[in-house]
Formats: sequence, structure tokens, C-alpha cells
Amino acid sequence: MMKKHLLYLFLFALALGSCKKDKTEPILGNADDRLSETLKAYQTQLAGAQFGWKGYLLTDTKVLATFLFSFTDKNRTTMSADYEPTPNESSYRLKALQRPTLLFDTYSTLHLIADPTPSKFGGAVGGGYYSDFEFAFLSASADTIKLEGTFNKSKLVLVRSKSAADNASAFTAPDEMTATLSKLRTYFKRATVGGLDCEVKLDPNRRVLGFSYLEAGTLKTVTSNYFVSGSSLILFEPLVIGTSTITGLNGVSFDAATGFINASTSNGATLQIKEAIAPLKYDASVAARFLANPVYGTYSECYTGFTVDGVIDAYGVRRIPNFFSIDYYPKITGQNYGAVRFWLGTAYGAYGPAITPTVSVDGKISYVQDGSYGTAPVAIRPIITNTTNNFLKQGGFYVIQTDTKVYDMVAVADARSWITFE
Amino acid sequence: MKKKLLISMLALATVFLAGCSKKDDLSANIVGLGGDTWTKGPIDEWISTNYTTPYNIEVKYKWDRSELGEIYKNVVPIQEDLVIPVMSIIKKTWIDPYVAVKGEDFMKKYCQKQFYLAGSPSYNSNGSITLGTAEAGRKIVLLDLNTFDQNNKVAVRQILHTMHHEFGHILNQNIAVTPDYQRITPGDYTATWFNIFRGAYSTNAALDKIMYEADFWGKGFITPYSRSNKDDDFVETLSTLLEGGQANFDNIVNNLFVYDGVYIKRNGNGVYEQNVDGRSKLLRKKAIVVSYMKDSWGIDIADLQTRIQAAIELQSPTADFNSLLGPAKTYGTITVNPQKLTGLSTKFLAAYNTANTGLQTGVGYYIDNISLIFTTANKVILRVNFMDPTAALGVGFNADFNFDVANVNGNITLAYSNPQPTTTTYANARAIEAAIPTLLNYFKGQQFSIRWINDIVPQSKGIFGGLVKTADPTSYLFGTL
Repeated sequence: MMKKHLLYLFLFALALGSCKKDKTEPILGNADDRLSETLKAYQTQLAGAQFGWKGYLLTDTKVLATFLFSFTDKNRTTMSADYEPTPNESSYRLKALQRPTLLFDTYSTLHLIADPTPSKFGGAVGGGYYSDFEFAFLSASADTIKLEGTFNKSKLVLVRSKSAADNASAFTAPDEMTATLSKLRTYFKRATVGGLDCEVKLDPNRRVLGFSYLEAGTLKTVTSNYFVSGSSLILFEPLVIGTSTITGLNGVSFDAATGFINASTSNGATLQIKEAIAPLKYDASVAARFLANPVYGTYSECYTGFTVDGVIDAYGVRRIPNFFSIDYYPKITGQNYGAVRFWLGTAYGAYGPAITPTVSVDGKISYVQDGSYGTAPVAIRPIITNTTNNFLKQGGFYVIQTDTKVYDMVAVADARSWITFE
Repeated sequence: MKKKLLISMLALATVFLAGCSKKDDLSANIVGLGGDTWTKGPIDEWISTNYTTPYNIEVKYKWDRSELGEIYKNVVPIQEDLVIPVMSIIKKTWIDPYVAVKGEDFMKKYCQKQFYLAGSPSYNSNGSITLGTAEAGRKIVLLDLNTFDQNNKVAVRQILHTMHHEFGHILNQNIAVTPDYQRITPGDYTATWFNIFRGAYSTNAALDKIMYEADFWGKGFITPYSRSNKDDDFVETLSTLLEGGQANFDNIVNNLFVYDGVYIKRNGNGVYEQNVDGRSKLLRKKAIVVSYMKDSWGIDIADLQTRIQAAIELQSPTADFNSLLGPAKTYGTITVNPQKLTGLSTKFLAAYNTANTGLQTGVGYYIDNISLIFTTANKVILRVNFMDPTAALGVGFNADFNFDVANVNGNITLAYSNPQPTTTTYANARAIEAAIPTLLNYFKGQQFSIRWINDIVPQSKGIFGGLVKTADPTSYLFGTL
């Protein structure tokens, strides 16, 4: 009997307990509401910029493009790009996919570079330049929004434009930056970052900035693509050098008196980029490897001739009628000498020097002339002569491997002339 | 004791019932993930007026990757300025003709409910591209629309073909076609139908074309895709009839012959051996499609076809034939081969056949075909292609006759040139001219109007171009271009 009562009591307790209501409330509010508010805030931010936004795109294949966007609160956007300066209107909207996402949802200038049909804008069949038009928000401050393509992982940085003048200079700023950076005459450049002596790699054409530094005797290299906003050079990926992190360089200018490039890093530290005539650490094995393994079996090609004091093709090889490439043969089969030949699309020009390389113990190549393939026509003779003389420079060349099959030959004497073979 | 138990049971039940009367707050708004609405513009209004309101069809032209069949491909959205042209032409050549024949309610009930539009094609790893997909009669995805050009009739027809194909599936899924259909070509359905494409058969282009066509038309299928399965076969036949028109279908059937290499097999008099099997299969399939539409849906396919073809012509007009024919123009030559054509005028055929008989009895050769060549200004060359039946099958010989013409608004009078040139083809002409006077006299000094002959062979614009005697409209010839 007692047992039965206990059972009832137990059931009774269970009945009361099972009906206990859960009183917890999400303290941050409804997640959907918050998401919707976030999207609204982004849209307000985008549409609220008086002069619109400057957009810097880096596609997955490392193609860079600069845009000017203006957004309305009616899902319309007008954009122009450095490759298509005429403004065009299309639509956009914000949608929560995996992350809050900015969709450019009808065809626009931005889609040209992503178009998988090469006849539209180039690139690969079925892929274009592997760019995006669906961008997830990575971070947003009042003036800078960082986005990442959800499909091809291209990067888009939106920077709030300050004025009409800011917009007007958006497409020319990179060229001005290139002009400034090219004022350093030497191939090698140095800077001190956080107390570390760094070699600076600058490739204004592909808009790449990199630093190499020694860590426990080994050369470490970090590089990133950058975009140019006014006199600032902003990196797509922060570069970590020792304990310092560089996200960009501000106020980049050339000081004619010292011959330095002055800039400041994002944390306000000054950074000076100086000319240098020798690499930080030289791999002496490259020269012999370059001579023994020409890129095309017996020869390597160069398309732009010598760069002298930052001027690409300083001697003007590209002005030679039908010029396609300078072909460098380290050794002509069956002969003791090598040669520099000028390929004119269908045949070699009947000129160009026969030169023989010697590699020194410390890995530098120097040349002696063994003859020539003929006298160049008068009109182009200075080009050939200057090119030849540069190969014969006293002190020879450093050979720097910049990619699997890309070699730069840099004059040892002053590092102010170099040539790329690939 | 019993009472106590009852009371405690009652108490317990009350507690259970009362304790669990939880009330959920159901008034909260469903927020969604956002981004599914936007400020409506003129395009949205147009779609609403023309598709959503009348037919409950959603047309999505704004990017939504999840609508693509293959979401892992690089595809770009459609240009806004093309949305209305594309959807307008689809409405006029797909919805409107059906509405005219069957009424609004029919389309409201059966049409696909969603369109998704994208700008570029979807590139496949085998090098081909996808231009459109459809899902189970619900959704149609149209790709590569950024190349849409209303004046490019081939591309317009391609889109319409997809539309009529998919709608055919819906009809067939609601009322199945008789199984007799699939019994016509039971053994030739194949999962690898996509291996049927130009270039798959031979490096010799002429031979490749013959073998390619023999692999579907020759086997009684209207397109390569129709070989995939019985249902697609049925809707391909239906959509080809509707989108391509009657003349297109008939021309396909009339060109089915038995080949020996690149040449059609024939007897000593040049009479071709027809591919009777292929022809009869295609015609039987067509007959079933026609009766299916009539019996199951009460649709007169000829009526529907006429309306669709007229709508296509209205939306994407064909220029008049005279303006397209001549040196450096779209068309240069009209080829007339009576064995491949039906509907040539009796008067022309009489002249042709008499000449052919005359050539056979007089010289021992037969005429294979004739052509009229307009590639020289102010000249027309009548080329008679003839064969020697005792020689191996080949291209035969050409006999050329020059006529001087002046084209006045599409009317030409053929004045026999004097003198004629003396090169080989003209020497050939001298050798046979005495045997074919009726043919030459059909042209000599006669005035013709150069025009499309869609009044004679309906829906044949772009397929057949013709010459009609101005003095006698019942005397005419036409040929392929």
C-alpha cells in the first residue's frame, strides 16, 4: 500500500517537473534579426559614402584591377574600372549566405574579368581570370571593407573615397606609384624593418612587394600583392618580418637628395628603402645551374632587354622591327662559345655577339666576346652595341632565380642594369 | 479505497493537463536570411505583368548560384538589358501560341513555374558547353544569354527548342503518349547519345557529315539527343516540329538516302536509293505526335506550328531572299535536285525530266542536279551536273551556261550570254546542250521573281529559295541554299 503511494508521489513529482518551462531567452536577441540588421548596416554603409568607394580587386590568378563603385539604397550600383573607365549601372544586393555577402547580381564591369568566355575579356576558357562577384564580408571599419570572393577566393578591398579628386586619381595612382618606385636605380634594395636588415623586392608591374631577411643564417622571403590608394601602398596580405608586421606603406615618396624612398608603416614607424649593389645573401650555385639548364633546352628567352636605372628596355630592343625575343645560348652546339641572338619571329637577325661565359668561385658570370653574327643595320646598331657592351660589363653578373624557370642577371659592378631570362 | 484511488487519479490527470498547457509565442516575424527582396525596377515590373501575375511563373534574373545545376562552374549573371528581350520572345513564341490554341487556363495550369537566367554558358570538362537545363517540368535554367541577339534566328530557335522540349515533357507526364511510340525504334536508344557530334566520325568533312546524320536521322531520330530515351525522343520530335516548322521536318525526311561512301547509291538512270526505313520511322513518330496532341489535348499541331512559326518570323524577321542572294552575300547558289525536294512546279519538272530523258537517250548520261549560281555580278550561271552511269560513282561533270541578268527589285530576265566562255565546263555545255533544250528554254529569255517561296512550301524561309516566273506564277523552281 505504502509502495503504491510512493509510486503516485513519484509520478506526481514527475508530472510537475516535466512541465517546467524553459525561461532562457537569447540575451543577444533573435539571431535572424541580428543578421538582418547587420546586412542593413552594411548596405547603409555602402550607400552612405558620399563619393562612393574605391575597389581593389586581386583575382585568384593574381590579376589586379581598380574600380570605382557607388551604391544606392535601391540595390543599384554604378561602377567603372581601370580596364573599362565608362561607368555602367547594374544591381547589387546583400544576402546572408555562409557569411554576410555582397552580391553583384546582374552583369557588370566587375563580371567581365570573371567571364568564363575568353572572347569577352580574355583569361582561361571556362574560368576567365578566376575572379568573383559574390563577396563575403571579412571585416569592415568605417572607411575600409575587406571582402573575399566566395567562389574563386579573389580579394576585394573597398576604401571609402574622400573626394571627387580622390576618385579622379584612383586609376592613375598606381602609375604614379610605379614611377616613384622606379626611381631607385638598383636591382637590389634595402630597408631596415624592426631592426632587421631586409632586402626589398619591388615589382611595380605585377604590384608585388616583398621582403627577404636572414633568420638564423637562412634567407626568408615574404611577398604580397599590393594596391595603391593615393600615396599609400596597401598589402592584400600582411607581411610578417621577424616580430614586425607590415600591412602597407603610407606616404611613399622619393627623396632626390638622399636617393631614398621614404614611407611610414601602418604603426607609424618610418621606413626607408635604399639602393644596394649586392644581395643580402647570394646563392652562388644559381649561375652554373642557369648556364647548364637553359629554359628551352639550348637557350633562354628575354622579351624586354636590359633594364637600366629602373627603365625597362633601356636600349630599345623592342624597337627592332619584328622583334620577338633575345635568345641567349650559353653554348652553341659543337662550338666553344655561346651567343646572344635576336629572334625576329621567323629568323634570327644577322647580328649579335658570340660570347663565352666564365663562372667565378663565388658564382658570378662574366663574359668575353668571341666574335659576332654580323654587323647590325645602321638603324638598330646602337641597340645591338649597347646590349652587347652590357653583357661584357666588368665584374660580370649575379644570377638570381626568381621563379622555377626565371632568372635575373644583375650587373655586379653597380646593380643598375639587369636582364631577365625565362 | 477505490474512491481514494479515483480521486488521486483525477488529481494527477488535472495536474498533467494543466501543467502542460504551454503557450508558444507564435507572433514572431520570420526574418529569413535577407537579400531575397530588393527595390523593384522596371524589369521586375515587366516580369510581374507578363509572367508572374498571369501565369504564376517566377523569372529569376538576379544571380543566385544555388539555382544552377552545377554550382561549381564559373558562370556569370545575365546583362539586365537582355532580360526583357529574351523573356519577351519566349512569351510570344511559346506561351502566346499555346494560349491562342488552348486558352489561358491551359497555360496557367501546365506551364513551368520558374525560369533562371544566366549570362555565360557552363563549360564542361570535355570541352562542350551547357546552354540550358530543366528540372522535372518545374524549372528551366537558360544559360549563355549574354550572346542573345534577336536577329540571330538560329540562337533564338535554340532557346525555343529548349522551351518546347521541356513543356513537351510536362504534357507527356500528364498524359502519357502511347507505348507504340517507343516501339518504333526500340533498339536504338543509348546512354552515350552525346557521342553523336560533327567530327566524331571521319576526318573527311563530307563523309563525317553523312555518317553523323545517318547516326540519328538515318535511324529514325530527329536529333542526337532524341536517341537518349523514349521520353526525350518524343519531346524532341514535338519540339522540332514546333520550333523548326513543317518544311524543316519534311526536308530532313526527304534527304534520307542510302549512301555508298560519300555518294548516294543509285541505279543506272541516276535514281537514288531512299533510306525507306529511316523515313518511315520518322514519319510514324510524327504521326503519333500529331494524333497525341489532337486526341490527348485537342491541339491541332498544324495550327500551333503555324502560329509559332509566324511568331518567330515576326520576332526575328528574315530579310527578303533577293536582298540576301548575290556576290558576297549570305547566299550565292540555289541547288535544285528534284529527288531531294517535293513541291517543285509541274512545269519546271516537265522541262527537267524531258531534258534528263533526252540526255540519257541522246548522250548516255543522266542529270544529277542543277544549280543557279549568283556569285558574279549581273550574271547567273546555270550549272547542270551530269553523270556517266558507266563510270564509278563520283562528282560527275558540270556543264555551265551563262546568262546576263539585270536585277530590278528582285525580278530578273535571263538573257543567254553570247558568246559563251570556252573553258572546260562550257565545253561540257556544248557537248550536252543539244540534248537538253527543254531545260535551257525554261530559263532562256524568261523573267523570274527571286523570292522566298513560303507561300508555296509553308515555313520554308531560310531553307528554300526560289525563282517564280513573273508571267506565270504556277511555274517555278526552288532549291536548297
